[in-house]
Amino acid sequence: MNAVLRRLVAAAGLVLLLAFLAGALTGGGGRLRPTPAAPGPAALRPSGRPDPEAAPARRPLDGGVLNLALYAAPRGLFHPLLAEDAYDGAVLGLVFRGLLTRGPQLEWQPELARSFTISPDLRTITFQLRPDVRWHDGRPFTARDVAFTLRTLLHPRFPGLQASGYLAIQGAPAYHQGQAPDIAGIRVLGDHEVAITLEEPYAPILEALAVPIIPEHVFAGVPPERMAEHPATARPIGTGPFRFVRYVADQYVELERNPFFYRGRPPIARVIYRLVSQDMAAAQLLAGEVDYMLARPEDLDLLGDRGGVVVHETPGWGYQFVGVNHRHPWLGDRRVRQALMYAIDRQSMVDQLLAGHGTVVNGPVLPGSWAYDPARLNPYPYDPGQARRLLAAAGFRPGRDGWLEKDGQRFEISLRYPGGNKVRELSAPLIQANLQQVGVKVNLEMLEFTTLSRLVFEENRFDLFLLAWAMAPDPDPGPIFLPDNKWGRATGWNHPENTALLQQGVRRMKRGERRPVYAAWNRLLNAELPYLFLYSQNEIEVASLRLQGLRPDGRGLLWNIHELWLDRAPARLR
Amino acid sequence: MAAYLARRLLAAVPLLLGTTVICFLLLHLAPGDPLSGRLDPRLRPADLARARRDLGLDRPLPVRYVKWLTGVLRGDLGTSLRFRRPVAQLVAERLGPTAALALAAEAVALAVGVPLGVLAAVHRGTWADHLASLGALAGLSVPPFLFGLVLLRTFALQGGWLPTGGMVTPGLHLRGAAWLADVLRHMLLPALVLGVMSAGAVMRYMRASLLDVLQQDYVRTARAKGLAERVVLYRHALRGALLPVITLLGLSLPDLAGGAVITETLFQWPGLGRLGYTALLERDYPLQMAFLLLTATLTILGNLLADAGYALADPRVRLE
Repeated sequence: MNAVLRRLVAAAGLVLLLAFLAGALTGGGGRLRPTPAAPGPAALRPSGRPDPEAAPARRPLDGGVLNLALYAAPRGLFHPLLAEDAYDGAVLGLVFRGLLTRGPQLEWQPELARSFTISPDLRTITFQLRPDVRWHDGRPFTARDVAFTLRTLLHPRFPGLQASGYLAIQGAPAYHQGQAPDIAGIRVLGDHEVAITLEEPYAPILEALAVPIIPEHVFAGVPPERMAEHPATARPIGTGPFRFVRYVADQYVELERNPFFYRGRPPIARVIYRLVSQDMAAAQLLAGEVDYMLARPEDLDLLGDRGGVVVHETPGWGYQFVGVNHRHPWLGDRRVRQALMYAIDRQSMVDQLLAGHGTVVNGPVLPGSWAYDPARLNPYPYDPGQARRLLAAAGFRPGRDGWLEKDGQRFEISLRYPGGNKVRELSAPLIQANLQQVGVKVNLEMLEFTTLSRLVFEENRFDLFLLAWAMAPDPDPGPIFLPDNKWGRATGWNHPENTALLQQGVRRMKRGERRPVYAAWNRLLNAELPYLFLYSQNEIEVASLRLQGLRPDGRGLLWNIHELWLDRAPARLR
Repeated sequence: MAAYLARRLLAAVPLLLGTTVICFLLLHLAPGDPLSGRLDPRLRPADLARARRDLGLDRPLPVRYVKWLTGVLRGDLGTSLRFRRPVAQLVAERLGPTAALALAAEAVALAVGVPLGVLAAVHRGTWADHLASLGALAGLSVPPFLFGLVLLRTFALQGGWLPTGGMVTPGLHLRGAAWLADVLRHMLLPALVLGVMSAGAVMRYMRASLLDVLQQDYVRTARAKGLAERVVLYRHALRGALLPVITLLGLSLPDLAGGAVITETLFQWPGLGRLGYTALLERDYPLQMAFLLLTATLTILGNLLADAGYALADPRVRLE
């Protein structure tokens, strides 16, 4: 018996150990907010075959199955207001549609809306809806569905956690706290007209109002806290180009075309999101088992020179950074942070770890954004000499053992980082070696993701940490640099101009008027360095040549999936 | 023997209970909770606090344990925090694929390991012995993902004879015999990877134990009676020599349920291993507990089966 108990305890210990090792294998970046669309200047590299534009126009072939690679199992929560990760989100993106969608320049375009107008005081947005939209079960889509969607996600007992983006709507905070029966700022003006009124102008509301709309007639009367258990959460009903057929747990998600799609019946008959291992995906694409995948730079070694695939690369919206604890007596000194920035060879991270598929970033507004202004930004080129001068100015002197010292204490700090993202894991020892060059001793601590999150955001126990934010194309960073919440509070940084600039930025609606505000804000953070900004990784999409009708732009390869069609004969390339 | 088994099963109850207490404590000692890993700036502290309250994460540990235990006693394993679905459903969906793969892997292990072990023991010291031992060492030391990738490359990607992953061909919706054939085709490679791993161990145990048994008095007696060497080997020696192999298989039962994470991931097999792994990463307490309960039960069951197997294989063993 004792032996059995010992084995059990050992087994439990092993399981826990696995939990910590786990970080070494997966996790990481995938948990951050999914990026809705890819930005800016796009580089299309069709290799081997003539440009599809140049080829004589052929009529789309009807039918066929499109296989898309999915790297982790969806949760099976196919409810747009409850879905929490990118994998459910990928499926939902084909089944549901929102009022707005992004255009070629990533500007907002009407989708379920026919048009929308913003009132002169910038507080009221009126949507005229398309009259020809039907739900997958045949019922007409109306303005009441829009109001129902917004009321649901703001409901005090609704378990989804996206309400914060909508609190600018008039009357929403009181309703969200259960102090009001309805939301004054949401008005249904007719079957196909709905108006949203804000307390004060708030530019990111458009992003929020692009949320996928859910059907009122399906969910009406369901207590909001029980929506996760509703059958339509497992088998969703939307308005998108593809209808949900089934999800076979941990295997695949099957969709079929919606013949009544308002932009026309899609030529592709079925879409299958196939779960594949990320290490196998490139080989499966070449074998014809998968038609589309998101690729890592190293996958291109296998895919790139075969001449049988379409590769589409767009700058990513996320960026990697070193978070700095400004409560630390030395790291709170701006000269020290700037010294560390000069000491880290960020370009060689991009060149070596990403094989060039990325960009060095010098502030939170990324080079691909319309709000980006390179003027008077410090690019912090790799310059250990400059780093040493700044550290000397901050009072550090080399000690007897070669490490820098101040007040008899050695400059020794820890760098905590989560396992999971391989590139990030490899960047940690590079940072350590770079900082050693200027006499700063860095101790690396790789932690499991949840453990790191707790230490950084709940306990603020760290000197430096590595992490990434995945942002939306809107330059407003949300709360992550505001001192009034746990995300912004983690670093302990604040600056009087910061909050004011961010408030100005969201109160203006036009890009031209917002741009100088974000340029100024980006310069502030570039000089103050609440984080040491590192790099942004490109998004690399790869599709098989079977897939025809591609019109890739900043939105990616599949934005017009309702028009794409499949060539016969799944080519086996090897 | 029935009385013995009944006694053992009864004794397993307090054992299981103790295990759940220890596991519950250990799991909750891991830093963070299901919401700490949610790095989404849209989440406001107030919303997070409300979500924690809704999930009961603000209550003291003993209260939560008792709530969990009373649920389990009523047959309710709770609702997964990640999937927002009943834990029992999630586990049940994956139990079949896991058991099928585990059985197939054990079959491979026995079919490869036992004959090789016998061969090596009988021809001890010859080139056949060295070759079999080398093979066993290779089976034990080659990492499963490497072996799996080589198999996939050869048979699935280059040959095109077998599928690259999954349990069924997506979107075909086969039934009956066609479905079974489809599943078997998908199962072949992962079963081979898992089976060859344990075949190495089976072979080593088989060889050592048969060599030991061949020195025993009852074998010498059988030989002295003038029995043919084949009869001595297969009827007398082999049965006794199987004991350690049975123990090995019995004790590997829980490993097969949850220890195949890497193989399951590589071959996209919808098994329990990946589910348990996800539960650990995300601090999905109800799912973790169900998983540990299952592993503990299988461990106890594996031990029991090993003991019962002893009695069946060796006439000298009597369970009282």
